[in-house]
Formats: sequence, structure tokens, C-alpha cells
Amino acid sequence: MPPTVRDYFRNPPFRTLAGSLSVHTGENDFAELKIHETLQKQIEEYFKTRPVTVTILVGDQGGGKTWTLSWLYRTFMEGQKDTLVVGVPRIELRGIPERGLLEGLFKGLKPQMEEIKQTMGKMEFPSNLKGTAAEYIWNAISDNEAYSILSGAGGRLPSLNGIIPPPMTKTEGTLELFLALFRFLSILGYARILVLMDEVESLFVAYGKSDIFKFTNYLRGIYDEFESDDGRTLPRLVLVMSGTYGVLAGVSPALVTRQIDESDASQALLRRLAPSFYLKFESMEDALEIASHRIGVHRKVTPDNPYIPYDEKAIEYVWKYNTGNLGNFSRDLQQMYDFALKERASKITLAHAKRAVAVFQKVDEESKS
Amino acid sequence: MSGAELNRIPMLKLPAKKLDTSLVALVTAENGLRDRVIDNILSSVYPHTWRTKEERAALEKRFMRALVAPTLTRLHFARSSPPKYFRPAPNASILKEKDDEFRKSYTALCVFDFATLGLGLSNDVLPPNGSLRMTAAESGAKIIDRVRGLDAILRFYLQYHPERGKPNLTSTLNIGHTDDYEGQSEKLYGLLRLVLPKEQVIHVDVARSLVIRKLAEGNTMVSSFVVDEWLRIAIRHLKLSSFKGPFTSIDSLMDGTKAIGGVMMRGER
Repeated sequence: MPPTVRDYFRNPPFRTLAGSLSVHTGENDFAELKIHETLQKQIEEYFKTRPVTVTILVGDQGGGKTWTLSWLYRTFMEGQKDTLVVGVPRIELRGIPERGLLEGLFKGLKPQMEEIKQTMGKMEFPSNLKGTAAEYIWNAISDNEAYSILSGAGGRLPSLNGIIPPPMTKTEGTLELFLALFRFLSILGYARILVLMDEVESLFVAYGKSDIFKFTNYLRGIYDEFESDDGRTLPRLVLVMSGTYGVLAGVSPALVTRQIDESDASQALLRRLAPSFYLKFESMEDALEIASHRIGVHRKVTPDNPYIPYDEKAIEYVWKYNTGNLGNFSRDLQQMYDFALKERASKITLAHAKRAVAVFQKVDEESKS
Repeated sequence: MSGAELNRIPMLKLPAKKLDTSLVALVTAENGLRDRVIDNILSSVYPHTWRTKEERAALEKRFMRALVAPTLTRLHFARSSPPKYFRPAPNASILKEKDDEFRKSYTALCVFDFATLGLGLSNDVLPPNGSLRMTAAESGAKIIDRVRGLDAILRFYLQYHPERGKPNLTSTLNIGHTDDYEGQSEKLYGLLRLVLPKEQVIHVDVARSLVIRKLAEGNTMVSSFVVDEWLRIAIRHLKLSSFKGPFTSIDSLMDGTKAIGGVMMRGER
């Protein structure tokens, strides 16, 4: 009996949903392309040249933003020892968004908590910062109740060792705690902090103009504090927010048009934003690289029979149809695989590709109507 | 033509003869502020005076909100972002600096392109070959009422259309068509590379305006509906990156079921 598609793969090669931002997301499947390398170099450049950088990673839904952030997470964690990466998978949509960001940061520290506590055990808290919010954070890290409230459990922060915490329900309080957290991390020896924030568009859907203005103004405040400090007590910060075109237009219409609305209050933030990075894949080489990487990872190793079960034309067809959208590209490739598997086919061909595209074209049209 | 197809035609209540003055009122208003456009409408299109705020609000409702705004927005001459702005859309982006003759010809081109490309109506039902009103006769009074506004505008603007009307009016002008770059796609990508900023996402309206303006410099008039077709070709051939908008809106560039909000011309990396 001739081999079929099933005989070539250990498991389905194309997962279509990204999962949430974490150090392990897409670990084996992620295909590192030139565009990712460019982004990494850009962030390195920011660390070298600016005390603080706020930038937006723009891509479509299914454009590979979460996997890119997860890859950045891994890449920078494996890099220099003085670099800390904090992944914020989403900002919880309750209360004020700036509190959500702060809570997300504390929650994002969890994977590094053991290392942080070990470092704390080896040193004394600096006397010149005694009684400040930074000392409060130092104490809160070891206090389960305070840490869980800071991570989003809700409730009122307790006083610790006689230090009254800034109020988390007020914007100025969250800013003080935010800066205190980064001063604390600087004390521990982290000179470069990369904050990766995913799913930012939900903010723009859930909150009204006034809340968004306060949030962008909050980011502006963070920017100014880091810039004025210029590395004296605060580490270098690169904050990457990932979002769709809607986020870009939501932060300010001036980012995508030449019109400036009078009501566009985020003008002050705009001047401080680093150029956005656009996650778009156009070349056929990218498509083949992604497909062959995924096929390679999931293929059963048969060195005596190095058969490539996908026709390049099939991949090209799906790629062009999806105009470079990675999520839909993977979805259609998986559908092709499913068709071939069901038919016990020995090769995935252009005909499978056309049928796969037709399935989702129909689904898209039905959902639209 | 079925009733369902005719039902897609927007109801336009602005009298055809008022379209031109409304466009002038739009493009001569300062800063795209809605209040300035209303001032212009109430001084030149529907001259009225008012004494109180309430009287002005009533006039705004009667003329701007009922007649002018829906027609200009549906024909893609204006974009409305209430309460503050009422701005020229790409089809009005070159009208300010052009003379009466050009404006009328260009308006005619836009309304006919709206009917054929925007609504997908066949030339058989458009003047001079046919009439929307006659076509709608079988579908009942409600549909006739729906199509009569666009029908009147098409009939009125036929005389100014550079190709369908009197050809001598704009003999020195070239007209942009959807098939202009058929078999010469590199020429189209060259044009887009020339006009669109590299490595920057721009709203599709900005892209449309940039193309329209560039071609107008070379004496070619093209409507945003034709530019949309060109942008779609470039997107499908992966020469132009597209970004889905947060929702479908009147200014979205529709590509199948995908509502594109922004585009980006990729630079050399």
C-alpha cells in the first residue's frame, strides 16, 4: 500500500490559533523570518539609544503578533543577564485600564519570581530609598496578600512595615507603584526591561474616549518619568504593545491620516511614540519558509525517504489567496492536510488547496451575510 | 434587474442641481469643521437666515442632515464624523483648486463610477441607455422612490460626463479606468510606489486621495471607485499590505468580505 499523508506526520503540522502570550507559546513551530530579526535589532537599538521607548507592533488578526511577542520573550530572556522580560498577555477589562496594566505587570513577573527572590535574599534594601514606594514593593513581593492584590486579586493594599501604599484605584497611585516596581527591579540589577503587552485592542473596544485618553496620558507620564530619570534610578524600558490597525487608529487618527482631530487628545503621546513596527509578510519565500519549517517540525523522520508531501504550488495558492495573513494561511494549510488525510492521498496538491480555500470562502461569506 | 439589487441603491434626496453648490460649500469650508460647512450650505445652497440657536438647529436638520450630508457621504464626496467634522472625501480632494468645468465633469465621472463600480449597475440601466426609474417600475412604488434620487443625478450629470456626455468638454483630459493597467501591472505598482509613503500604514482614504491628486497633476481624472480597483489588484498580488479595519464602514476598502481600513507600501528592507 502506498504511503499516505498520515504516514508523513507525527501530528497535524498547522495549528491555527496562537494561544496566549507566554515564554513557551509557539516554541517549536515558530518560523523565524527576516522581519522578526529586524524587529529584534530595532529593540536592541532602542535599548542602546533611549532611556524609554513605547512602540506599537501592528498586524492583522491572525497576523502572528502573539507568536512574535512570545519569540521576543524567549530571545531576550536568553540574552544578557541584566535584561528582564515581562509578558502581559492582556489587560483585564475592569476598573481603570492603567490599574489593569500595573496588575498585568505584576502577574507577568511570576515566571521570574524565583530568580527575583533569590537575588533579593543576597542583598539589603538600599538605605536611601527607605520608606518609599520602592521599599513597599520590596516587601510586597514576599507578602502573599499584597502580591496577590498587586497581581489583580482585588482589594485594598495592606500597609507593610509601616509603609502606606499609594492608592491603586487612582491614576497617580498606579503611576507611583509602576515607577516603584521599576526602581525595585533596577535595585535588583536589571538594567533593561522589555515589557510585551498583547491584546491591546480590547482596551479600545471596551473603554470610552475619556478612559483611553487617561490611559494614553498615563503612558505619556511613564515616558516622561523615565526620560527625566535618564537611568539614575530607573532601568531602560522598551514597552511593545501589539494590536491591530484599529489600535493604531484608536491611539490617534493622526497615525494613519493627515487629519488631526481637535478631540484627539493623545497628541502629546504621539510625539513620544517610537515608529510603529508593521508585521506583514509578503514574499513567497516567507510562505515556503513557514510551511517547510512547520512540516519539518512535525514530520516523521524518514531519512531514506525524504518526501515533501506538499506541492509548492498549493502553498503558493493559499498564500496568495490569504494576502499574507498567517492565521488564515495556516488554517487553509491545515484544511488541505485534513482533506488529504481523509482521502488517504499520497500528496497534498493544488486541487486540495483550491478546495480548502473554497470551504473558508463559503464560511466567510455566510458569516458576513 | 431584481428588486433586491435595486434595494441596494441609496436613497438620495438632494436635488441634482444642488449637488454642485453643495460640493463647493464642502470644499471651501475651513478645517473640515461641520459648523463651517453648515454655514456655507445656509448661505449658498439653501439661503436662510436665523436668529436663535434653535432656528439654526432646525435648518441644519432640514437641509444638512436630511439632504446634503447623506448625498455627499453616499457618493463618497464627504466623510462625516459627528458632531464636529464633515470633511471632503477622496472624490472631493481635488475639487477646491479646479474650475467649474472640471468640477462638473469630475462630479459626473464620480457619480457614474459610483453607479457602475460602487453599486455594480449595468450600463443598460444608466443614462443614456436606460433609466433606473423605468427599471424600477416593475418593483413597485417603494423602489421607484428609492432610486429616483440617483436617477435624477445621473440624468442631470450625463451632459457633463467626459465620455458619456459631450466629449469636447474635456478633450484635453484623460480618464482613469479600472482596466488601465491590464497587462501592465508593474506600471500600476510603480505609480503606487511613487505616491504612497513607504513603511507607514495609512488610512485607505489617504491612499485614494494621494493617487487621485497625483494623476490630476498629469491631467488625468480618476474617481475613488477606480482607485479602489487598482488598490485591490495591488493587495491581491501582495504588492501592497492591507490591514483590516476594526469594523466595516463607508470608507472601508472592501476586498471580498474583508473590510480594509489601512494600507502600507512596503519599502526595501
